[in-house]
Amino acid sequence: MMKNIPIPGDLAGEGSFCGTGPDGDVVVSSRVRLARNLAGHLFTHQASHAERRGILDACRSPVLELLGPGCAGVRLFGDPVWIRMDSAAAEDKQLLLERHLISRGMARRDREFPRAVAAAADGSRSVMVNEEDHLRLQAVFKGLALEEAFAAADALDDSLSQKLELAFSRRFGFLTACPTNVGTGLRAGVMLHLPALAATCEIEKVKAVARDTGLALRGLYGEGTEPMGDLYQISNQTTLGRCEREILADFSQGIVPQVVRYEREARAALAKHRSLWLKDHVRRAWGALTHAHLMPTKEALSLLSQLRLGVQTGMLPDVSDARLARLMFLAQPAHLQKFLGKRLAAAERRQERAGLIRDALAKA
Amino acid sequence: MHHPCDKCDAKATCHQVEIFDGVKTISHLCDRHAAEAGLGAACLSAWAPPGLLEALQSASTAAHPPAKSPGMETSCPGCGQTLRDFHMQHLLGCSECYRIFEGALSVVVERAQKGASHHVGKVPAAPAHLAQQERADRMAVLLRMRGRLDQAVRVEDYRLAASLRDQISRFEQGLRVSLLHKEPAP
Repeated sequence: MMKNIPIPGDLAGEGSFCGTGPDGDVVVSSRVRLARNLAGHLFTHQASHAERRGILDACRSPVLELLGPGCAGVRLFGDPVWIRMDSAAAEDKQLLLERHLISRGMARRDREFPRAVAAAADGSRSVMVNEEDHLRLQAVFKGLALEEAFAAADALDDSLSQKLELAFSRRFGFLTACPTNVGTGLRAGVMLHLPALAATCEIEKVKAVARDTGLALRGLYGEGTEPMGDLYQISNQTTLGRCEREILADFSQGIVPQVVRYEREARAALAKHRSLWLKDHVRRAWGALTHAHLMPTKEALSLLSQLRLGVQTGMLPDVSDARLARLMFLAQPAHLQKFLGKRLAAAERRQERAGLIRDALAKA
Repeated sequence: MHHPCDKCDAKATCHQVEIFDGVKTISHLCDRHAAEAGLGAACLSAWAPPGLLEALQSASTAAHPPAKSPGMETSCPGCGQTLRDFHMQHLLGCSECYRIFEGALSVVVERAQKGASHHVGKVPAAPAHLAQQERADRMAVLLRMRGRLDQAVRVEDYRLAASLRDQISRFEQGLRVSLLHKEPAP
C-alpha cells in the first residue's frame, strides 16, 4: 500500500487540478511561482546538511501559518500539509509532481536531503522549501486566472517577508541561486490544451509567437519535458528588468488570448472543413478507450485529449468535458495508484487504467 | 596560485567542484586528466548556456580593470565559491556572491535576462526596520562566520567550530533583539 500521507486538493471530485475554469476549454490552469532566499544563509546547494535542516525548521512554522485557514488575506479551509521529501515514498513524490506541487529535481533527489513542500488543503497555494532556492512560493488556479494566481502568491510573499528576512539587493532584486531567476523571481505559466493546433500542425506557429514575446512553450511537466495529451505550458523566460505586472501583461494581453482564439478557430475549422476526419479521429479514440484492456499513460492522455476535442466540437454532446479533464489527471501513474488506494507495477497500472477509463466512459 | 594536477605534476587547468550531501570536494586536473575524466572546456561548453563561458572569461579579464574585478579563482568570503565554481555549476553560493562578483555577473545576468541589468518591481517589506545597508552588513558578517564554521568542520578543528557556533548563536540572538527593538510602536 502507498504511504497514507495527506495529499492536498480534491482527488475524488473535480477540485483545483481536475475541473475547468475561465476559458477552461483551452486553459487548464494558471500558475505563478516566486523564488526567494533567506538572508544570511548559504544558498541550498552550498549549505551544509545542518544548515539546510535549520532552514527547513525555521521556515516550517511561518509557512504553515500562511497556508492555514484565514491567512494571507483569503479564507482557506482545512489544515495545510507539510510533506518531507526525505521521508515521502517515491509514488507520493510522483503524485506531488503530477500535481505540479514539487519540481522534478525535488522528486528525484536523494532521501538524505532535507526538503519539504507545504500546501494549503485545497492545493491552490504551496511553498517548496530547500529547492534550488530556499523558498519557492506557488499559486495555481483553474482556467485562465493568472491575475488571481499572482495576487495569491504576492500575498503569501508579503506575509512571509514580514516573518523572514529575504535576500534582496537594490540592483539585482530578489537574489536567487541561479541568475536566470534573479530580480522579481517570478515565473508565470499557463497550461493549455491545444488538440486542434496540434492536429493541424500549427504548434510551431505558437512556439514562434511565444519566442517573439520572450516566452517559452514547454511540455506537460515544464522545461525539457515532452508534451502529452496535447498539453503545453507557456512561461516567461526572463525575470529581471520588468516589473511583475509587465511580465503578466505578456500573457493576459498578449499571447494567451491569441492562442485561445487560434485554438478555437482551429477546432471550428476542423468541424466545418474536415468533419469526416474529425469524426473518425474522435470515434477511434472512443473505441479504443471503451474497449482496450491495457492502456499506457501516454496513449491514455492522447486518446482522452482527442475525446475532449470531440466534446469541444459538439461531436459528443452527452460527455462532460470536466469529467474528461479529471480522467486526464487520474490516468497519470501516481494519481491512478492513489485513487485506487494500492501500489501497482507498471503492467498492472496499464490494466487498471484501462478499466478505470472504461468504467468512467460507460457512465458518461 | 597555480594548483598542480591531482593525478600528476602538470599544471591543473580544470578545477571541478562537486557537492554531494553538503560536502564540497574540489579537484584540480591537468588538460590530459580532465579530458580522461570527461571534463574540461569542450565538455563544459556542451551544457553551458550559449556564450556563458565567454561572458565569464571576458568579464573577469578584459572588460573590467583587474584591481576591481575578481579573477576566476577569487573566492567569495561568504561561501568560499569562486567564479570558476559558478562557471561549472551555474549556481551562486550565497547572496554575497552578487556583491563580490558584481562586475563579472553583470555580463552573465544581462545575457541571461535579455539585456536587463537592474531590478524593477517589488521590494520586500522588511520584517524589521533596520536601514538596508546596516542589514546587508550584518548579514554579510553572519555569512562569513558560517563560512568559517563550515571550513572548521571540514578540517575537523572542532574547538574552533564550537567557538564559532557560539559566536553565531550570540550574533543571531543580538540580531533578533535589535530587530525587536526597532519594531515601531503599534
